[in-house]
Amino acid sequence: MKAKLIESVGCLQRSLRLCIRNVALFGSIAALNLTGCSPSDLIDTDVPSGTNDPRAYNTAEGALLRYRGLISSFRQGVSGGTGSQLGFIPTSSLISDELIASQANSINTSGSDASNIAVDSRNLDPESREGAIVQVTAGAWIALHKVRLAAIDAIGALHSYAPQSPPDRIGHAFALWGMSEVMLAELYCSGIPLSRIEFGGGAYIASGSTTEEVYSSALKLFDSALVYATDSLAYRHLAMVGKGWALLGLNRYAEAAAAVAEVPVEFVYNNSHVSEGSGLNFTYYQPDRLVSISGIVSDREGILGLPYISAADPRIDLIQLPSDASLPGVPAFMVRKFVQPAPGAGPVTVASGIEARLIRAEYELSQGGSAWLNTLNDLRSSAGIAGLDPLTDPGVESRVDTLFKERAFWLFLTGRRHGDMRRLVRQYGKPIGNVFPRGPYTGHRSGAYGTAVVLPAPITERDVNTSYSGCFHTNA
Amino acid sequence: MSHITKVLFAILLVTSPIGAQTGGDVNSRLITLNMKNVPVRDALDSVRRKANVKLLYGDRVVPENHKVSLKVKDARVQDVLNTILKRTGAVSRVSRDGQITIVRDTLNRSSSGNNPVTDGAVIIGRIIEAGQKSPIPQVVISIELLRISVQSDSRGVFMLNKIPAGTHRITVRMLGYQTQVSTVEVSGADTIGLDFALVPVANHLTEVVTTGSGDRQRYEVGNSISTIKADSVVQNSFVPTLADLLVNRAPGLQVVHGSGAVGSAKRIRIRGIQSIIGSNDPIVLIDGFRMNSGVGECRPAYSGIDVSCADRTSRLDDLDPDMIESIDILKGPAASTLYGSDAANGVIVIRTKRGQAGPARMNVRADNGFSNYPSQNFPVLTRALGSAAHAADFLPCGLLQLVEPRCGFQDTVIQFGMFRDKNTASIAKGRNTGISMDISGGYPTLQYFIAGSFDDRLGNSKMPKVNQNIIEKAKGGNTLASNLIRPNAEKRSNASIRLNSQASSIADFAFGANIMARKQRRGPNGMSDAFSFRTPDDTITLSEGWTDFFKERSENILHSAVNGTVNMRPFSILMLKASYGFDFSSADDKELTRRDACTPFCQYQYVAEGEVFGGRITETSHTFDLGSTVNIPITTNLSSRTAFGAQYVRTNQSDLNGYQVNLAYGQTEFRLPNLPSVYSPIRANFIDMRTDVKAVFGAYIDQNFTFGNRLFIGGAIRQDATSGLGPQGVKPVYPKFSVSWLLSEESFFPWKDLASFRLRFAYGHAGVQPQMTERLRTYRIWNDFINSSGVYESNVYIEGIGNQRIRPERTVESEYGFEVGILNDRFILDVTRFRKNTRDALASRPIPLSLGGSTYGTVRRAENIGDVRNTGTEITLGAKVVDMSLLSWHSNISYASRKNVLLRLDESILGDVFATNGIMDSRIVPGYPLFGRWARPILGFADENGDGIVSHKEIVLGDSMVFMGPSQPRFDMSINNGFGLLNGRFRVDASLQYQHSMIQYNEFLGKNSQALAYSQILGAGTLMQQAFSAASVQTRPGGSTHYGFMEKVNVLRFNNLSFTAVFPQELIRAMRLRGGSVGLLATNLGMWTSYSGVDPETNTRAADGNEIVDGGGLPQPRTWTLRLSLNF
Repeated sequence: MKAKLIESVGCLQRSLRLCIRNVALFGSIAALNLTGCSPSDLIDTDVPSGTNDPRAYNTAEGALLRYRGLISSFRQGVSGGTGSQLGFIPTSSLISDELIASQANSINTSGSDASNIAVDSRNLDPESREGAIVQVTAGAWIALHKVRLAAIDAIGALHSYAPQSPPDRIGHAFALWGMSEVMLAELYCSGIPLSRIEFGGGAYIASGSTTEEVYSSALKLFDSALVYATDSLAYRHLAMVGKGWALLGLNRYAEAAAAVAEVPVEFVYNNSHVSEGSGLNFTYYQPDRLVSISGIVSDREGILGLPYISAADPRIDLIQLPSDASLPGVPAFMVRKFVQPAPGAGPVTVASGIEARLIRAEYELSQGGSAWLNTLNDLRSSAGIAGLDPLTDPGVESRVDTLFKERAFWLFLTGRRHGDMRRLVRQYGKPIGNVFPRGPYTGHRSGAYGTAVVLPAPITERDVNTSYSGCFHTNA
Repeated sequence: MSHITKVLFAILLVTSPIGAQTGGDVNSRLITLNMKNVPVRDALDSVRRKANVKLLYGDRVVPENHKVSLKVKDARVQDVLNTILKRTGAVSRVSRDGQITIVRDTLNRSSSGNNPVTDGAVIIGRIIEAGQKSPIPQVVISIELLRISVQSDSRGVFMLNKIPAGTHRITVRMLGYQTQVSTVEVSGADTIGLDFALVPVANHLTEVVTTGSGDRQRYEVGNSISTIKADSVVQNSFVPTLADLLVNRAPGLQVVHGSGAVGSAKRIRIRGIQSIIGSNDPIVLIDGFRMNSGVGECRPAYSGIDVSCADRTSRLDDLDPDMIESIDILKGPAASTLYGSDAANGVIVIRTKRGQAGPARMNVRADNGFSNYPSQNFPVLTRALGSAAHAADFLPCGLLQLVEPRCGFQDTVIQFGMFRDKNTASIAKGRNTGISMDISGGYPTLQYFIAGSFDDRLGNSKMPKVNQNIIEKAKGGNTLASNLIRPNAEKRSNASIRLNSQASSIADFAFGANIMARKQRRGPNGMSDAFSFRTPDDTITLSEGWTDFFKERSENILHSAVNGTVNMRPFSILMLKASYGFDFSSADDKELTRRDACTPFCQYQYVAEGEVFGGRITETSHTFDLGSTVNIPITTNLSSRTAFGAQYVRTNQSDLNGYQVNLAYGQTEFRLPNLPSVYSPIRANFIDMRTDVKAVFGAYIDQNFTFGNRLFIGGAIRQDATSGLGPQGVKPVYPKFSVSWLLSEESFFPWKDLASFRLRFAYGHAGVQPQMTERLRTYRIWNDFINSSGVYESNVYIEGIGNQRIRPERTVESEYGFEVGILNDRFILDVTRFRKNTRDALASRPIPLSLGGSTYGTVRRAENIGDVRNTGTEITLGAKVVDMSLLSWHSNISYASRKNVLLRLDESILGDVFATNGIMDSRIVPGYPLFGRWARPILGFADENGDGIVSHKEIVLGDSMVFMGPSQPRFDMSINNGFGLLNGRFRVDASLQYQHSMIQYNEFLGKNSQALAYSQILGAGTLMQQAFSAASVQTRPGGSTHYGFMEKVNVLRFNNLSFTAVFPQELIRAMRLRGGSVGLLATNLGMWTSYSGVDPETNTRAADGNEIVDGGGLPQPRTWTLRLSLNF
């Protein structure tokens, strides 16, 4: 700034000298031009000392800061932000059969308690302006869209200001961007506006894209990730799993299997950069009592839910705790993986080789034969988890259920279950009533399950985005 | 006619000094000359010097390039002149008094004879200013009976031709000078010399006012420019701040008060408000340079509206009014076009005092006084107490629990005037002391003015005695620091120096420097704590607000300004100006709770451990100004003034703020390492910095034509490049046009001797540039990224996406009006009507969530989506009602009406309640005033169940909000009177102000009434009060409303009364003084209003200045000051 000012002063001094010497009536302008200074030089301000000015970060170091910002944004998009903002995994787990809302005893009928119950009980009216509904539908929506914006910004900054840095970072950024779009497609209704910013420039407010279009958009991003992530296997594998996930959503099993073929079973991409209070909100407030401020691990939720507790499956690593005083008689469990090594610092798995094997198994199931079962059993045997016996063929009628149950237990609380339930309806033709929790609400509050199978777009998006008219439909 | 025309074409005139030896037959004098090939003019000049005669000629008469050679010895002047003028077409004539004039030989161009004019006499002369001896151009000289009229040229010379023989009455008239009449007897073809020395007389139209291209006389500009003669106002009134100096002094200028706390900022609004989210502040120039004039911060501001935040300080008020000579108010774009992209809200031009040549003069002034409140003005407070089912005993239930009745029940209502009880009142007598001193003087070539002042003011806030007792009892002894007992105070020091030098006949320079330092303590505001009032017997010993008593809110300000200007006049028609000004201000504000200070009263442990919120706002402004002015008299009747210039103004502002807890004992400042390390993982300590830069480069050309010194037509254009729009952004162009017609100077004006009359019209554009950060994508740095080693590192998030298409707000103003001065300005009437349209007003539009918006629409970006119109009328009537030596009474009445309407707002955000800037009580609705008052109406209420209580279930509310009225007065009036008694030995000044039809939100009453809502259970208050109260409870089913607390306000305030007695001459002589006086000055002596609150002008939302909300801030105090003035 000082240098800029000195330069500006210099410009004006030279201008002044010329002005006086030539007695030029329009001296100031003419002199500025003669001295090589234009008015633009004088107003092209620079604020390197500020934290809110973009040019403070138009450096290689700034590009790295933006890249880190993307990673932190992604973490919040997946796990949740501060306070009551739910991320992708908690929201997805509530609307599926993985969690039940845990604030049943509160006399408070508004705020996050009510919103969590609304999601858990599938009572989500897309037209509702009730604050709790708006809040819960907006949480992951905002956080995941922010990932997209941060990715655009980080990629642009790495390109422009850190061309010497490893291109893998750009690949990584593309992969996280792609993941965020898949998550949006998995969780929300058809009709998602993929608004975007231009790097260093304007902003484009989008109308809605269908679920398929969002998956397709993500596919292109994963392909870009693979172009850049040439050296980092971790980022390549992340992109591959993401691509397989998106292809599953598009009902393209063969391509999905091919996409993940190179991913080793040991691969894990953890969202490990979780800070206290802004990570996966499972253990922040009550680390020694419940598994989540948002929900408790459920067991056979809504008649059809899977027995995540009673099955005593070693893949669902729970520690039973004394019941909370506010929920007498309700068993409380802690999910061990989220509190180890420290509360709130546990890894949150975003992509893994296990998922890659499950994607391959689903493709193999679609082809008939027994390869799918072999793949699942190989996975069980190679995992090194005691108590996982080999599966037997349940017969044609139950093969899909078996596969999806395997997915549910292997991928517990990673945000896959809700998308799987949607796919069971959309791709495998199962009635909604045979997939989603139904009947009397089995959470700790009276009422019944509603009919929602997706999260509606937040109505405030529709209010503000004049190009957007809301969900195209709210089917699975 | 031909003679006159040709002479008037003369644009350069050389003349001998008036008063040189004249008379006798100058043509017969003998001179010796030896010249070779010299210009004719030089030759004539030699003749003038050698013969010691008065010799007048114009350059159109004497060719510039014609050269002569001459060698004579003891030749007659007449002969020499004939020789010199040969072949020039000019001849010489000698007047009765011996003055030689060179004129065109129109009768015989080929002749070089000496008998050129034979058809009448010629009267020739020069007009000068009495005392100054400087020539006065464009003075009208007329012989009215003959209908002959001419004007003096640029050197004051005039010539009346073809005057028939006889006695003639010659009238010389010029606005701003006493009219002179002279009788001349003419016979034959006389040439008569007749000079006039005009005596200046005060006339408001001839005052010098500031324009964007330099100083002009008022009658030349087509705008209404109000001038405040600050030195005379300050001399006779108690004016603690610069903003106080502006109150009631100019129609159309509104001073929006903050609270009545010492140091509380006031905001200036001129001709209404036009920006929705942008600044509505005028820009402030001090001696031509940009001055930092914004308001300070108030930490912690994160909690939204805080009563103590009404007490922000203003950089404008850093300046001591004692240092100011005058202030010009340029009210809108029609006047401020040449100030460009920041000037749409008007320009306040401050001119500081400067010295006069002469012996040193010293002035000393000392003030001592106090401030207080009439206690009966304060309301009786209501509070309900009761038992709660699951809370501690004797705590009032919250409002939520009132609706959810399982909370418990209220069984006691207390009504108590805590401000009227000496034990519970949080107000006390304040104190004002101040001293100022200046010394000035100098030589004709260098003048100086040096001044200094110190003010010490103690505000009216006080910790209630009952609280002092409780605290001291709990802490064991008298442990309370005085700054906690009296938390509001200010100390202000000022020093300034100004040097003016006329280094040579073609150059002068000026240098000025001001340095200002303030130490401010603020809040908690006296009434803010009233919502949880205490009783003298301490029945309520625990309450919210206790922690407030231990918070030390302070602000330390350093403000300095330095500037210098060089003016050069290389030619008489050209003036060059180069100047630079620098303004720096630093304001450290802090809210500190020392470690263990509030133990055992702290509700939260982290407060007990000590916490400090605070920050530092630094602002630096640079102003570069280059300008040229060319004055060309095209004809005697027509002259041109052309000004070119360029300005560069750059303002850097940074706001470093932070928060730290767990302080060490004795720690009062931040001790965070690694600035700006930004955000610690534990979220307890953070520090953050925000910066913004505003830079404007603008160039202008201003062309003005003067026709006969009575019609002035001007046009100008300015183009800017601004940082707010960026190097690639649009470069807005602002045009202006103005006409001023001195009708009373026209020959057909019938009452020349009785009145001056001027018509004027002006039209202009100006803008408000957006902040740079509104265009750019902005970022925020955090520390929540954990690397693979588990260590926190910094990362950045996008904070605002910016708006690359943003444009400046553009305001187009037209104004027209007239001024009449009757009987040498004994009565002056000034009427102005204006219309201001603001296009592309910036409003804050929420961005879609898919673009990073928030659920509640709080993430926004500025977009040009509104149009606003302000119209109004301004009238000033000045009268010297009585103008005698024994008694004089001068009165000035001003009136200003305003109408503000939002013409358009982009449809997409019409349903956005947040577009109301987040405050539901004022909204932004097309077709209505900006920030107008809105509320859901109470359609009806009744005590249906007959229990004597109107509960919230017995009220019917309208479905939607209705417009209650504007939050600004529709019109205001002020009257300032000055009385002089006994030859000026005594002086009395009094001023009143009336504001009409403003809708005030009595938030304080509303909050107090929430306590009344509790008491409904016990049937307190009238049914209507109960209805208003019950309807305002926020958790009322079906919504709430503040309808009952919107009040239409008309208020008449007795602003100022002062009595000054001048020392008798005997005493002055005895004390060896130049003068002296003693005065008793009072402010805010009375108020008459229907408003139910304490003071309708108390504003607890002074931060934006666009609306007035009485949220419980201290009202304006009454002050009494004794003043002693000594002049040495």
